Amino acid sequence: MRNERAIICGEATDSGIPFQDVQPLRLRLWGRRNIALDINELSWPVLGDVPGPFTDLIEIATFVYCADQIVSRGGSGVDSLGADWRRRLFFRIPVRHPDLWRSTQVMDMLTSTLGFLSEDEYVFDFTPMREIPSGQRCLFPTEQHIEEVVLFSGGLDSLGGAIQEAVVDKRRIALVTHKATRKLERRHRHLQKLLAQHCKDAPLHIAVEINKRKNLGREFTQRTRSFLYMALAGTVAQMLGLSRIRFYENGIVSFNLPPTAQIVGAKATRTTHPQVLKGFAEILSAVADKRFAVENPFLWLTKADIVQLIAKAACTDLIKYTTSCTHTWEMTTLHPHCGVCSQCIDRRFAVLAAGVGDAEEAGPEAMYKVNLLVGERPALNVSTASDERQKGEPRTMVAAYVEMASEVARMSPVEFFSRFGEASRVLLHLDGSPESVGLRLFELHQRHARQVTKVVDDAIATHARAIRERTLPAGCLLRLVCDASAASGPGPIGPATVQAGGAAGSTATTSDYVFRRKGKAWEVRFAGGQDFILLPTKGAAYLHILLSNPRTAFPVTKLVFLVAKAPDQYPLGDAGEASDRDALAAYRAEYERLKDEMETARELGDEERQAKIRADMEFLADHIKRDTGLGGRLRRDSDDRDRVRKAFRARIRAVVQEIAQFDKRLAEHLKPPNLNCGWEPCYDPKERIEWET
Amino acid sequence: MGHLRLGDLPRTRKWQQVVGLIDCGAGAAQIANATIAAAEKGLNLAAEDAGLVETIWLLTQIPLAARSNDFGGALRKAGLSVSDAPSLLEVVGAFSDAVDQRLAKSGGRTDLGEMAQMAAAETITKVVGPRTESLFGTTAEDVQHAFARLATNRQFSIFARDFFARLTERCLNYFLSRAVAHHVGEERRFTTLAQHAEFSRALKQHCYEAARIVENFSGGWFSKTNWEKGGISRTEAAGFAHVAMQKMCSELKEGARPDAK
Repeated sequence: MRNERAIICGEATDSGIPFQDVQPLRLRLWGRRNIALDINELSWPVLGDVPGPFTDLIEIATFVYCADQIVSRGGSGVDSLGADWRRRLFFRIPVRHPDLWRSTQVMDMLTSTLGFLSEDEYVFDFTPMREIPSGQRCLFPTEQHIEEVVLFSGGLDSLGGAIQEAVVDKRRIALVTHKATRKLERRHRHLQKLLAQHCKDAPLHIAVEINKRKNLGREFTQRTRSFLYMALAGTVAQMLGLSRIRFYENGIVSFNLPPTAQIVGAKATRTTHPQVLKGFAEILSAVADKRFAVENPFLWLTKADIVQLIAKAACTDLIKYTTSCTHTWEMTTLHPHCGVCSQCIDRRFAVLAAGVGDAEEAGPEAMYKVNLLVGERPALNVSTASDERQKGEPRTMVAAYVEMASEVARMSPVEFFSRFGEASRVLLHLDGSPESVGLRLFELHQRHARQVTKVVDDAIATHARAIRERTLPAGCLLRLVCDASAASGPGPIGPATVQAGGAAGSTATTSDYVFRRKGKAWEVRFAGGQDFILLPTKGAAYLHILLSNPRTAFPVTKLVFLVAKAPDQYPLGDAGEASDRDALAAYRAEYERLKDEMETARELGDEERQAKIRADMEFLADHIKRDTGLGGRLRRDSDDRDRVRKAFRARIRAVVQEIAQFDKRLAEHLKPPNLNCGWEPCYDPKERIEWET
Repeated sequence: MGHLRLGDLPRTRKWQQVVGLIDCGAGAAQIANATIAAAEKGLNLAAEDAGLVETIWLLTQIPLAARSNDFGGALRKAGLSVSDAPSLLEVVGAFSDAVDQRLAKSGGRTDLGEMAQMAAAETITKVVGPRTESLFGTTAEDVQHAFARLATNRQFSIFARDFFARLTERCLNYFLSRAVAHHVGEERRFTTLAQHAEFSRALKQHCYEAARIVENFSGGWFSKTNWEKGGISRTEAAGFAHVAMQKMCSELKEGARPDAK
């Protein structure tokens, strides 16, 4: 069943929902509201006199953004290949201008742009709004002539954008900010104050906060966040008489080519992807009924380029107060950056590549909880990872980031486009021919890759001695890139010698038959075939003993004791015979009597009697069978030796089954008569086989 | 904005076996085998995957379109929004957009379909790119000629092999990338990232070797179906996708076995 959810907004009714959703999600911005949108800390009605279609747009965006956080994407979904990641969402939203929103053109724009942005499938049903909520006067200061509306997240890229606009180009701008968490409020305020000091005209700040009931937040991916930003910034621009908004995001993040294969589709965010910005511009143009532009002027810059731009504008002191970290829950005054998430890694590399990494005002290394280059990155222990959001990140993220840069730096254009299929989604969605776009895309990524690898190379040169002496933390980036104990290749990120294709790290052996320890596992080869690894199990250990001692019969308990960690704790007793001989003889006599009676009943055609006798006979037969073993001897009750024998056989069966997955011939070989289990297991192959054990 | 989050493999027995094999130093072939066994249920749905089917169908249509006198027109007929004289990157971009648009209308996008779509865009660049003078300065004639060459039995086989090798590698790494990087570092399976990269290369090579099974039959299927039915429909492409994926899975399972030929 698909991951579907119906969302009924405001006063709309839930009749005739196209989905089989028994409990549609209800979202209300008014009355008994469960979500709220606040602008400049004033309540929602501040937008009361915003042009009607824009009010609709903001409400639609708010509902979409909230539903995005409420409807789960089904967790990791590894086994189902992410089946639940893509949701099917039905929205019924009351609007002031139903004709506009119901038009095929606008509906197509909405569904295709949002569909690409979040990879969900959207179905909208816009109903006429019956009661239009009363509004207040708009509080924007109209005497201030604003030239540009810019989205401002408080991160490095958007700060770069604000500096470019307000400091370098000396323009009057409005910065629209989403207050994602109150934790950042003080830093944002300080940043705004400092920014104002560098500008001739202090930017106008419009902060937006969205609240929803605490129990509603289930999904943290928030892929539709930029749709809400666009709606808010577009509305502000419209009210200020402008027809353009600007997102400032570096090209590497805008294109967001996946650094690792587990990132598929929109799992790499498409917040400012060229296709998305193009879709936003179309939506705003339709709503404003005029040509509206949505731009990203930093599309062809890397983050390091942006830091250089900030430094050139003599605004390096502002960098320290920007926040890019996505692990806001880890943020402290001392360490505002976790140093582990993709944003922190990207940011630190950019600052170092731009040559301001050591500058106190640019945010020194000490502000990062984990030092990018020499900080210990603990290897993951999934079972003890305290937070779902932290799993997989500490070492994997930095490894993927550096590996991708190292790979891209060496690539030709053909190699680049035949490695990153995702680049194909950009080629026809930017101004210029696909070739010119492709060339710029390739050059941008090569420049970024060179910036990253240079930082690593420089750090290796600086820490050469510590690397050689292996005094750096074992899990730090420099040790992962260049470990003195493993380095045998030509360079730090060059090829190393490792038997990656075959089983790694094995000592060469010429024997055709191998079953020997390799670390904690077993290395196996049969009849000169390919080596494979058997994971450590008791069955494998039993097999090792048997293969090491061909034609030797071991009492099963002795074999088990050889492998057991605490053999002295094995009780090998029993509770005596399961039944006494007299009782068993009585059962047998009764069984014979019933057999005769059955004959009689059959002759008389008494069906009822036959059924009863049959049931009695089955009961007795079960008893006799259960209590006697081979040759009619009495079984012993609660026999530990028998339990050990059965467990041994089960372990051997399991390991042979595992072997069959990798080598059918060996699995076939390890069957009777070559390998016998029972009370005295023995490996006795027909042909003479010398196992290297 | 633009952040990434990474995940881990489930803690089920089969996936823990994969993790154990990585940890204990198993080779690429054995790890591929165990991964396919763990992921088989999801991969078996390939024939029903709208994205995979559309991708394979379009891959068959481009070489056929290149045989027509009106290359641009034939591509547009197949759903690719291109000019009359398209360049290679224009075809690649239009190919990707065509799959996106089709799935936006019909629904049914999955991770497998997404991986197939990206693998196909990569294959087109990889196979056709070196046959044109340069990726950024191709003439329309060069591009059409290079695509038209793929319409032969032999060349389509190479094209299909590259695609399925990439798709399989993407699928395996889709799972393995959640675990492999945890095994980098001192006293771990891979001491350095270079060793990790070496393993990735071995896995890629293994997938390419395994994809020989697709090469062996795809050219014949392409020529025969096109000849007998006067074209290739989406239904036939779905059948081909199903058989090819099953063969790839079996081959990867056999690949780690010494008795496999």
